[in-house]
Amino acid sequence: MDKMMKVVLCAFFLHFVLFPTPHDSAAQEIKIGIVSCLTGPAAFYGTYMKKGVDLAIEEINAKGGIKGSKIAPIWEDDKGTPTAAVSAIKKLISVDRVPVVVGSLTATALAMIPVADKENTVFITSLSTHPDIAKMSKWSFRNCINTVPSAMAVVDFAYKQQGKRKLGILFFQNESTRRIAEGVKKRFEELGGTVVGMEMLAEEGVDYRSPIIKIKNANPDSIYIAAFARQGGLAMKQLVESGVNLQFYADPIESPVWLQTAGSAANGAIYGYLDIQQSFLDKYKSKYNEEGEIWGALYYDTMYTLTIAIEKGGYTAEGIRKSLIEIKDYPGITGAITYGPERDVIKPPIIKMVKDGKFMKHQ
Amino acid sequence: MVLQLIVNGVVSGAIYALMAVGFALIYNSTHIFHLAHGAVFTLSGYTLYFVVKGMNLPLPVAILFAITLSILLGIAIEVRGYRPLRERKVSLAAFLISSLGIFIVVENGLILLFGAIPKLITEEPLKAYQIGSLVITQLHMTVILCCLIIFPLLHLLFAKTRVGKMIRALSDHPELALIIGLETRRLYLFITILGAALAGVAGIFVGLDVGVTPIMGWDAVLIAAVAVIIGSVGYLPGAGVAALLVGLVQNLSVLKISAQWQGTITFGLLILFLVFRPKGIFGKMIASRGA
Amino acid sequence: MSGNRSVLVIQGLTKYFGGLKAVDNVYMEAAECSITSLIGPNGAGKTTIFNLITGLLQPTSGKIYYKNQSILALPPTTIARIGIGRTFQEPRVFNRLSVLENILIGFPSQKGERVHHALLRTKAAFEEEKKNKEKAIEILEFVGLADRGSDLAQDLSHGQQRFLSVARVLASNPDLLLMDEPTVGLHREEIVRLIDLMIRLVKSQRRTILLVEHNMDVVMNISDEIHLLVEGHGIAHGKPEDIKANPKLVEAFLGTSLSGNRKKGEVLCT
Ligand SMILES: Nc1ncnc2c1ncn2[C@@H]1O[C@H](COP(=O)(O)OP(=O)(O)O)[C@@H](O)[C@H]1O
Ligand SMILES: [Mg+2]
Repeated sequence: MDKMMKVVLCAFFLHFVLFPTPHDSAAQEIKIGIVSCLTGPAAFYGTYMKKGVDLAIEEINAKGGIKGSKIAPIWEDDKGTPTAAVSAIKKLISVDRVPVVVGSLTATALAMIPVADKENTVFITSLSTHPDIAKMSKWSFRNCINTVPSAMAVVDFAYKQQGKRKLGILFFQNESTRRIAEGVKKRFEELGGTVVGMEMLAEEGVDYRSPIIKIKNANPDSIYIAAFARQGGLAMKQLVESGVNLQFYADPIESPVWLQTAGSAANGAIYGYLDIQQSFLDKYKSKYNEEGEIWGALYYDTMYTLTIAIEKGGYTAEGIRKSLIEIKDYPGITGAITYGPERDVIKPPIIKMVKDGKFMKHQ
Repeated sequence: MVLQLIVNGVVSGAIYALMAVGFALIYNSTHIFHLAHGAVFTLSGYTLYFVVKGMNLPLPVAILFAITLSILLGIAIEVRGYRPLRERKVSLAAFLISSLGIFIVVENGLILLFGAIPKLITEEPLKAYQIGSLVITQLHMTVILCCLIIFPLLHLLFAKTRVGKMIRALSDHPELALIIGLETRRLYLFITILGAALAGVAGIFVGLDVGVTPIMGWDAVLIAAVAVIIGSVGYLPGAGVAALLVGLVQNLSVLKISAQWQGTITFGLLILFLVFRPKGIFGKMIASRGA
Repeated sequence: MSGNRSVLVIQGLTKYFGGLKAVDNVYMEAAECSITSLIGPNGAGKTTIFNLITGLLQPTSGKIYYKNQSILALPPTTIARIGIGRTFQEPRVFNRLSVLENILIGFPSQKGERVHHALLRTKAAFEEEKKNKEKAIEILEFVGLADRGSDLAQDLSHGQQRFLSVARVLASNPDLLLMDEPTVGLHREEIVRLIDLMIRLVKSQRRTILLVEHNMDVVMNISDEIHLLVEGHGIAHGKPEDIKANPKLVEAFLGTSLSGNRKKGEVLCT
């Protein structure tokens, strides 16, 4: 090969390594990589996410985008599987050269964060409630609260406000739901209550009657259910069918799937999570003709905070990272947003409940 | 609590029995490991779901549809899947592969049509009755009632009618049945229809109880197979009794161990039997046939 | 008996299994109301001939006529229905059916076979069933198993199962009975009873028997015609006297001596 050619190639190479930003920021579109479970068993989460993201981008682009450049999301479907998620994020970083990737569920996030860390790319999710997500890398952010604080808020509410003393716990066979259940038990006992029974809902099962009967037989005065939307809903339905008509407390499983699964059994259930502003719910309803829900709302906020960060810090990973950390009390539709140096959003949970098939603030 | 667990065990056992007896019927007479039985079960559940939720028709109509479609799928499996293989005298492995293929096609077809997400047919909690400390849903009572009608009828069919005798003869010695001039084609068809109808009923009950998923057939057919082995291969009532036993053991085991092991218990039971009583509960009643 | 019509005629029957000539250009006939025996060493092709007649195997070439009609293209079910019954080397019975049911199942196509008849138990089906039951009991009496009707076939002794398999075949009322080594595993007195049974089948029931048998006493006692088969070839045939007249032949091929005797002049079928 010609010596001249080598020099040119090296120069090109150096150019990309050392000065990728000025080149890219001059581009017409702001590309943002998004990896989500658009198909597969958890596809409904991916669908909620997409609706929130699309709504935000549509609004932002309609207002002129970021400094005149339109946001162009690049969607990759991971089907909810870690391996597909890893290939997707690698493709986004090396082929599409995006400085930021938006992720979804815990399982895929845990697989993608090490890649983002190695490649110095910002990663943000609003669906994973695993406690370690933001801790795993200085590039990893989260815009949804860890389920533990909201579960604790609910336990306090149950003991102090509603005078419950004998709690039965049902938890879904999963690392994060198990942790919550253990946290709930610890907190309830610290407060002075008794946990009369703790039973697991098997992962592959749909018939939870055996654990339910065991809990029922322990004579609780209320039930805490640590589970995801579908299993939690099924458990509530079968609790009622088994003649357990007690106060149900539950995790942040605020999703229509919960209501669809539990039917009227969900009515009266109390849980803790974030509030959603009515303005968002109205916009959502008029665009999609269905009720808005929390995950779409969180991603809606996420897209807005990313926009602010790109505007302020520029379209580079480091710029986005710095600006995200600096965001303070951004007035999101799910409450004031501050990521802080821990990169994990801090928002106080509120006590919510299901009433007439709708999610709302308690009382 | 024990009483409640027994009742629940009987209910799950009864549903397993519907599946197991259908599976045994086909296995005993054809020796096909009829995995596609799970496809019939799943299709029945989804038909019910579609007719109730998609077409907004009343439940009895949906049940009719579900049974009809189950039977049609059963006939298709026999006529298009098994019969050509049988008449080419291929090995049993080929039947198993064919059966597995049918199962996968149906499963993936349902995923394409309805997605992989589980669906509920009855979103409202089922109506339940309280009898003392015992709670039983209307659906579960119906399950038990239906089984109290279906199984004695089946018994009558096999013990008293000529068709029943012919099926027993076919199961006992297929070659001899052919030689003495039994219309084996029609018998096989009758068996598949009967088996499919039973799987269809089971699919309806499970669909109404806990909803449908595209993969629901696997568990159902595996438990059925386990019941057939525990209940002694070749002895039809054995499959039903064993299925009831599996249901009871699964539910009662909660007394001693965490509910999370329920699935494992089924296979634990299978292994116990394979080691200590490989011929199943009724093994002694079935002398092995010479050559 | 030479004047009797031939119920079965076999011409040039040949069956290859790959390169093995299991049956090679065999000619034979079975006259009405007679017992024709096929003898020969193991592997001579006797069972294969039975399989060819009953349609379980298709011949490589040759012809088979039953009552002057070719039955070559017919499926086993049809062959059974038109009157050819068969017992096997091992007693084949439906183990998990009762002795009586074993017979009932063998009766040709019935109203009970129709699903709706079976389920609704129509009067016609009911009456037919009653008639069949009587017939079945009659057959069981004929073979000497009348007292075992309600027992499962698997509970019978080996010998009883053999008699049951004969009875089972009789249910289809065959004119031609193919019996493959029926005395194997029977006690002496059971053999005597079986011989008696075969003679009654031919003599009083006017059936025709094609018999494969190793017990030369039996063969020489009851056969009207004997065919000697070796390695697929028919090498000799004739009346028992003819075969006995040439004992070396039999001894050479069968390794057994002939000691059977049958009262001269006894006629099985008149
Ligand atoms: N289905 C078959 N396939 C291949 N070879 C066979 C088959 N049936 C019989 N044979 C062979 O044909 C020959 C004749 O067998 P058979 O008719 O059973 O003899 P026998 O006179 O002892 O009844 C034997 O060599 C046997 O191995
Ligand atoms: Mg032989």
